[in-house]
Amino acid sequence: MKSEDVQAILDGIAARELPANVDLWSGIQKRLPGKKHLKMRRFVPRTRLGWVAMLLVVVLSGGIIVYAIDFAVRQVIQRDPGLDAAYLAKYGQVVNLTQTLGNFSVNVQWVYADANRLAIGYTATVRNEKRYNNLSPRAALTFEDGTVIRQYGGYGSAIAYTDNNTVGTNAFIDSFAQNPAKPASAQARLRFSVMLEAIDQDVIKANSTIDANGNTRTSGLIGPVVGPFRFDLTIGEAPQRTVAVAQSSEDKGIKVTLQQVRITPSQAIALLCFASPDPQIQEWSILATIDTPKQKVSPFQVLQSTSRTSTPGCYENRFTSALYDDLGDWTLTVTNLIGRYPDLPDSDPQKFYRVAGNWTFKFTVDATAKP
Amino acid sequence: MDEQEALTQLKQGNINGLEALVKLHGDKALRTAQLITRDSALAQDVVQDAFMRVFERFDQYDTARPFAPWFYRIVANLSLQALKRTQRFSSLSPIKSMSGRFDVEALIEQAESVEELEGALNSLPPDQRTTFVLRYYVGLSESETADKTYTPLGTVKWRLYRARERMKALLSVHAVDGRL
Repeated sequence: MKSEDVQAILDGIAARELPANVDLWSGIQKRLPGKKHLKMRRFVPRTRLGWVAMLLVVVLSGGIIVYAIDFAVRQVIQRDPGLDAAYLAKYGQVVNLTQTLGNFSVNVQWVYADANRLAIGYTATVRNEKRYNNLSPRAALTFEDGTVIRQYGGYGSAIAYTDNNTVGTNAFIDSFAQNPAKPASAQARLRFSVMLEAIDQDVIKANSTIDANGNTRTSGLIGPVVGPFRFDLTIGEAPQRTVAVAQSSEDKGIKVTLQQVRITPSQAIALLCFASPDPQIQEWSILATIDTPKQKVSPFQVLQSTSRTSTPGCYENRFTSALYDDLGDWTLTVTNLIGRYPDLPDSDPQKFYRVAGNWTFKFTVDATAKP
Repeated sequence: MDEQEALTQLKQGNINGLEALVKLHGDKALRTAQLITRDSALAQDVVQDAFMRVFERFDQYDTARPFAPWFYRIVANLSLQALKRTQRFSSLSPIKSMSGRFDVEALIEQAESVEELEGALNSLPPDQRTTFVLRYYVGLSESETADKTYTPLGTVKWRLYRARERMKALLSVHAVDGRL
């Protein structure tokens, strides 16, 4: 790999984490001396039509405010391109539910569900306590019948202190894999519960030891644990398109079958099946690219994760991109199958078995694609 | 307006020169700060601070030398200072010591996804991450990196070695379903 490629990958990581179209210059202008020469023009309507236009802008702005959530939660949502698109398209629901236990509270602000995932955006806050290094959540989501929905990812912000360092807040967006056993209702009734662990460097130091290699090892608590904070939620499900592809492609002696692709506003999941070339390995990660008429999604541009399904040899590959509006001809290409030997530790280079190849599938996504 | 013209205008106190520099370097500066701070709000503040510093201290800039290395030194130093102020929590995962020669490009190639790279980047201590970003993202040489961060060359080499070693250790630990 060339150094330009390394630079491009780092560039991609940074670009994905930053909001689109950051206006640096406006912020700089405000701080420049003599800014009276730089101030923005004020709009004062001079005609009746102008006043109507201004009133319309005010009304529309009001609509946006109704859908607003905390800036910190918005920022963590922006780190996931698919969820960001779902938020902007207003598929999720803005809520404002708070639970307080002592000096700690959790505020659920945004909930989202589609056929691929559920997501909860929330803040955790500590008031008038000692200054913690972070509030670390352990979240759980269940259907109302108690069926557990597996968490597979999430983003969090660093703690930010306000009000003379008396209030510390972290923001989080947690993603949960939609459960095939979900109720048939389009309105999912859910229970979300969170335990907060306040990370305290003093406690960490007290529970840490230095091993023979000079590495710090921490065991036991890393700070006080507070909770559970419980919320009952009802979430309407965003739409989906499912394409039954049922195509096979063979390379390197491995036949890979793409059964279907399920596309929702927040992500796409490809259901891929293949027989393991080594019977010892039943746990695989799949790297793939997707080409649509609008964009190319590669493993270095978007996060992918693979999870096993209940059918042996079949895997769900998640693409956390906004692909729902990409109608037309798609090409999905699997480029790497990476297996893990179960008996070897992660640190052993022999644990991984990589098969690089080219398994290509072509299909069409149209507006009528239904489950 | 190209960089030279922008610098000339800025030297004459013309604010249009600064605006042109923001257009030319804003995006890369923002991404550099983001890679170091891992916090987009902080990165935006840092880059605005960096451009303000360019404006306020332009008389300290030697126009005979290239602008970019001087400017990215400011971005990197302000990012590191901001990071230290916010006292971000860094990974406590024990890192196994590794041996053998390797290069960062091979490590990145070895990573299965951006998620792993991102995780590895996040886990680097701030000073190692700053050195790593200046070397591999901004593209400064080891000696330039040493110069730009007021750090002895030996320290830069050591930080880069530790950063690569730590990334190697982290990237060898794969997770099918990690925290995205």
